[in-house]
This record gives sequence, C-alpha cells and structure tokens, in this order.
Amino acid sequence: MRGPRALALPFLGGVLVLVALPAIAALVLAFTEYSGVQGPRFTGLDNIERLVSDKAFWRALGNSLVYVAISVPLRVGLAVACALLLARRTRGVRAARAAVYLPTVVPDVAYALLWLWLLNPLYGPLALLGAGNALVEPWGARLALPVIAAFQIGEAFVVALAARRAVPGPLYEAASLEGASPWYVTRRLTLPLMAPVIGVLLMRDVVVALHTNFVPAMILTDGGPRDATTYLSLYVYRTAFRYFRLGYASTIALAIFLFTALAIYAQYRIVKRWRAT
Amino acid sequence: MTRLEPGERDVAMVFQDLALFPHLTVGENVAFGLRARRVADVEIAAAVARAAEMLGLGDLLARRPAELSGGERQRVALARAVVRKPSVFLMDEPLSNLDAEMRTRMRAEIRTLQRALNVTTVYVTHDQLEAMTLGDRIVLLRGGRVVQAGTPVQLYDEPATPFAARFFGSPAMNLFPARTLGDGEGSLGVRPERIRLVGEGDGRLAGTVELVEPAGPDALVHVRAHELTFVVKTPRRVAPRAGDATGLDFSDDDIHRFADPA
Repeated sequence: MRGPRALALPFLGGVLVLVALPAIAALVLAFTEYSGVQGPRFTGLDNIERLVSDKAFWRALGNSLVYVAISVPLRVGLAVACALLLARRTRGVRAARAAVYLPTVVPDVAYALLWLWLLNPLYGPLALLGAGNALVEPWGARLALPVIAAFQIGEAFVVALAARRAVPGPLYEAASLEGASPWYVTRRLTLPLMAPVIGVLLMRDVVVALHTNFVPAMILTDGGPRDATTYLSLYVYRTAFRYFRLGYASTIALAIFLFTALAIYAQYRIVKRWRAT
Repeated sequence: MTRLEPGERDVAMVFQDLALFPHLTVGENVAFGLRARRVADVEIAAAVARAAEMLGLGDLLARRPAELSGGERQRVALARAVVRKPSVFLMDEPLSNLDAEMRTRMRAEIRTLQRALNVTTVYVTHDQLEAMTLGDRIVLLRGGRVVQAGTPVQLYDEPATPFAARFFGSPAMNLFPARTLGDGEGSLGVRPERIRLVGEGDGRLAGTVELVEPAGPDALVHVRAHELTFVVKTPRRVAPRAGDATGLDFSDDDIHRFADPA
C-alpha cells in the first residue's frame, strides 16, 4: 500500500490487535471454560445452555434495553434539537456549538466522577435541588444514567448540524413565502430531509449506548441499586474479571453482539420504510 | 410590504433553482402553501387539480421532483406559484437552467399563463430576448440602479444610455465616441439592422468589408470605415465578400446620440 492508503495502516493495525483478534478469540472462547489460569477447555454448548437459564443475564439484558429505550431517543433528540437551534449563523453561535460539544471531550471516568459528586445524596449540589435519591432508588438510577449520558452528544450534534446545513436555503425561502410557520417548516421540511441522517444516528447510538453505559454503571452505581443498572456491559466485565469465567463472559459478549445486530437490522427496516413514504 | 412577514405578502415566487421540495411528490409540492395555511382538504384537492390541469401536470402528481425532466420541474414550480392565486408573481430567472429549445417553449407558456391569470408579474432575467418578448414594461438595472424604464419598444427605439443601447438588440448597436466623428462629446450609435450597404462611392461613408459572418438568413458584415468597424446586418443573399469596397448608408433618424461615452 502506497500513498494515502498507507496512512490508514496504523489505524488498521490498532483495529486488528485491539478489536478483530480479541473478537475472534471471544468467538472461540464462547464455547469453552477458561479461567485465565488454566488453559481453555472446550465445553460445546454448555455455556449457551447456562446463558438461557441465567436469570442475571436476562435481568442485565432487560436493564440494557431500558437504558437504550430512554437514552437513544433522548440523546439523538437533544442532538438534533441543538443542531436545529444552532444551525443559523447568529452572534455567539460558535461558542454555543462549542459548549454543546464540550462535555463529550471530558474523559468518561472524570465525567462519571463529576456526576458522582453532583448527585451525592448528602452534599451533592443536585441533591440540594431534590435529586438526592437519583442514585439511591432503582428507578432513580435507571433514569439518572441516561440523563447523564445525554450531555455527551457532541458527535451526533456535529453530524446533525451538517445535515441541517445541507438543506438548501432556497427551500426555506420558498416555504416562508408560502406562509409556512416555523413549526410547520420543521415538521414538513427540515426533519423529513434530515431523516436519513437521523436514522443513521439512531442506529449508531444503540451501539454506543450498549457500550458506554459501562463506565457510569461501574463508577456511579456499581450496578445498583438492587441491580437496576447492572447492564450487559457491566455483567460481562464482572463475569470475566471478577469471577474469572472468561469463557462464559465471551458467550455473553457474543449474545450482546447478536442483540445489537438484531436491533440495528430492525431499525434499518423501519428507517427504510420511513424514507420510502 | 417591507414590514410584512414573507408569508403575509400574498406573493408567489418561482426561484432560479426552482426550490422544489425533493421529498414531496408533485401534488404535495403544489399543495404545500395551501396546507401550510390550513386550507380545507377538499379545497386543496380542487385547487391542485386546477393548477395541474393548467400546466399539464395531471399524470405527474404522484412523482417526485428527481423523477422529472427540467421542463416538467419548471411547470411544477409554476403550478406551486399559481395554485394560491396570489396578487403578485415574482420570477427570478426561472428559465436559466433549461436548454435553449425548452426555454423558448416555457417562455411562451409563461406568457400565455400570465395573460390567462392576469396577475402582475415581476420577471427577473439577464436575457434581453426574454425581457423583450415577455415584458409589458421593462426596468433595466445596472449595479442596482435603474438605467431606464419603459415599454420594450421604447427601450429598443430610444435607449437612454449606451448601456441600454448595447443591452437590447442583437447584434449590439454600433457605438463610437462622438469625438472620432468630429461631432462633440459623448457617443453616437446606429443599429446594425438600420444600416444599408450601398454601391461603392454612394451613401454616407465609404469602407472596406473586413469579415462576413453568416447567421442563418442574415449575414453580419463587418465594414471598416474611417478607422471604425461597423457591423451591418443584411440578408445573406445580398452580402458582399471580404475585401470588397462598399458604401454605408443610414438616415438621420437612425442615429442615436448619448451624453455618456460609449
């Protein structure tokens, strides 16, 4: 490989070592028992049988689905709303755009620690405003974690902003001459024209949500209260690195992969039909 | 007018790039303004059908703009403008994206449509022929300032400045600084179609043919006389050949005098 393509080599190398090889290894390990101390032992479909009857797994799947159901519409909705509000070139719009992006740059662990302080039931600033039980009650935590994640929407915001600015200006002039109200224009013009991009953002955010809920669940709630935030990502981590059942953890990871693929496919079908009408 | 919201001005506009809504069908495009104004569905259907009939779009109502030809899109943009029965149409170079043949056809259609609807229409164009053929009155602008306003015949017969003289008419008027002809300041002009080629030694000026450009039934003859080049439009059959000596003649009425330099 020569020229511009060679520039992709370091990235591809990283993908190979950090993603592709571990993924293949996990696919193999999913059918073994492996503690990390002794070598892996092939066990056939035992892990899958165990998975089906593992109540903790199904609870983690349910928790993850609740998280996705709240987080994805909230995040994409906010990103699109911010993009629509900040699409025009007005005074201070650059600063406002930077402000929307800024929380995304904060490292995940630091961001989680910040919220741990904000939501501390005893002395956290938000506790003083009545959100003291957010991480104490199961449903408080189920809602709090997606809300926390809803501030880190920089990437989706930038993409939505580009999509909004790609709508030709004369269409808005035509609509305004035809007497369309701003809300009518948003509903009938802007959103339908952004729909393909919004569809991609939704699909992407499902993947993002299933992975990134690990850090807040680990640092803010440790999967609690009463397992309400033990998501699949956290469950895999615990199975692998707290109980050292690396084989079974790989089986769960494989299940996450399949569920994600299924969710993406379902959304793809929905978006395709949405675009066709 | 200036203080009103665009939607309250009762103006319909045809944009240069048409600005059709790409995600809506032809029917929905035409109906957009009526729906935005919450007109009853029955009335919308009737108005859309009427506009579609007027512009021959009946079979295309379910299609999207991307599936239409340039001329069809042009008709959709016109239908969207006429459907609401506004008090004024604004057309901003609506034909500039069409090929020459389609432009001529749509020009005639716009004229017919405008006559039928009898709605005041402001039509912006860079094409002098469109301006001459479509306009009842023409306002000639240059750099945002009005150069001259009047009927097409007035602008052709009595151009107020050399700019106006050059803009209307094809080929453009012969314009010379008046000084070179010993006739005071400013400039003088005469239209190519008003000059007659006469025999050598006759007419006002004597010259030599430099170049003959055939242009269909006519020929554009470039004649060098008094160190000036005159373009003369003459029937091709009687055009001289390059190198021939010829006389140029035109009447005093055909000489335009301008205070501005050419």
